[in-house]
Amino acid sequence: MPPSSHTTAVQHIYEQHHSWLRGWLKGKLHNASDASDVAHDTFVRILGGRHAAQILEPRDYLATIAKGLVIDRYRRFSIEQAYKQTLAERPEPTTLSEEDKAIIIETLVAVDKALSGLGERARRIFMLSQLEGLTYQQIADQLHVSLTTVKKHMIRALTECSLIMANPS
Amino acid sequence: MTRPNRKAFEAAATWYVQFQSQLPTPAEQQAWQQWLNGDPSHQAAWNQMEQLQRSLGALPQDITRRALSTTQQRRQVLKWMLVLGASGYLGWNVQNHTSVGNVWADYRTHVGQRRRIELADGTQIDLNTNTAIDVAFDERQRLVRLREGEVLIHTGKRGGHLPFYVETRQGRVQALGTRFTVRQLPDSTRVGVLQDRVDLAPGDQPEHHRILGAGESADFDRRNVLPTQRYGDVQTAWSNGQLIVLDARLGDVIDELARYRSGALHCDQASTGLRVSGTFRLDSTDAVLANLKATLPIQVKYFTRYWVSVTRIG
Repeated sequence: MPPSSHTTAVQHIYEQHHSWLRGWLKGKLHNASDASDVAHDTFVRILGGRHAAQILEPRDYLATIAKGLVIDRYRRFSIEQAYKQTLAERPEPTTLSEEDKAIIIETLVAVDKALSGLGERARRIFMLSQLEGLTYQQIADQLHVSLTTVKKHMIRALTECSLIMANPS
Repeated sequence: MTRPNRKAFEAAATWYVQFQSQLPTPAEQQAWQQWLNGDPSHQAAWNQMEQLQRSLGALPQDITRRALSTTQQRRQVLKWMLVLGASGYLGWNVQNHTSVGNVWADYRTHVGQRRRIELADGTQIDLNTNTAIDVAFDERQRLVRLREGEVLIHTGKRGGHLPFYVETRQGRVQALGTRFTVRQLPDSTRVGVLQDRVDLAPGDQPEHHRILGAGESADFDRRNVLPTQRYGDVQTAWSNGQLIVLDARLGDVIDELARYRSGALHCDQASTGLRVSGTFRLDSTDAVLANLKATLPIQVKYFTRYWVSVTRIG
């Protein structure tokens, strides 16, 4: 089977811009192996797409994707860090299986990512509902907003979370 | 498999929130069932919503609280950094370990290395040999933790009015101006000011603080600030890779050189009082030793590359 125009385009972009991308990332991350990883993941992402042949400004495009990946790594890293710190600070040692740990971290990464795209009020409402276990009416009373507003923000937050969980990066 | 689109997820979330809010009437239940059967992607979206609820329900509260609140706090700073990053100023490191709470950037040099970094607010920091710092900037302050070694700091203008601190094992140094150095010694901290002023506050007795002006230097421990000394470009020549000495004791020069070399570098009692003047290159301490040997009555013995001994002859 001949390579598609998409694959050819990715290959072309790779040849022309891969070392630029790695250098650019290295300047930002101050770490050569992180930079190589992110550069690699960036191309994996583009390859997984469909329209590489239509990319007009490859460097802008690569930089945009790479930046997103850096933020994802940062997000995952800080969540794992919080996970470790919290466990360490618990009064009694906790044993969580690797599987539990994976689910917790995946969920938190998705939720954190979803919440980052929402406004402050939606974040607050989501946290009060999911974390504090308040009913929608209690949240409405506490924040002095209407029940409809609470529901609207919950719908938005749950939609974003499930979209992210359905399409993990 | 049918992949649900945003609209399907929105519908699933709407049903879900509605059912959470109050028990569905039979009519609502029927409407929901119809929606569910209307398209395979609806079923998939609903399954995903239930899966999400199970995962959310399984989250331990303490972990969730910390994970989400700390990352959400960091977000503003992260955005700020990325904006600057686009113009090429950004230096931050995702991989290294964290300092408590804030956005961290962790930088270090090994023995004999020097490095200049530029932070998001435009601050330039020169790290001298064997130095480690954490950078923690947030909405309230700009904080650099000096874990070991020595830094020359040139504070940036883009930090606005946010206070700039350097923390050491002995206390806190606040920049009231632009250029200064901080060095972590074994039991004290040494601060030298090149431009403007700096406020030193010992950790246990912050009321013993002292403000140093340009050209001044002082050491402090956790309780007191010691007398002020003179300070200048000679002391910061390391940032240009140089060691400048004027009529210094050989013992002190050797101690200073030892900071830039791995392994042991000693001189004997007889040679320690010899006087030395000159400008030396720090990137080649072997050449400096050869140079000293050529001008002073000393012998430089290499037992190994990492064990060098200076003794007086004649």
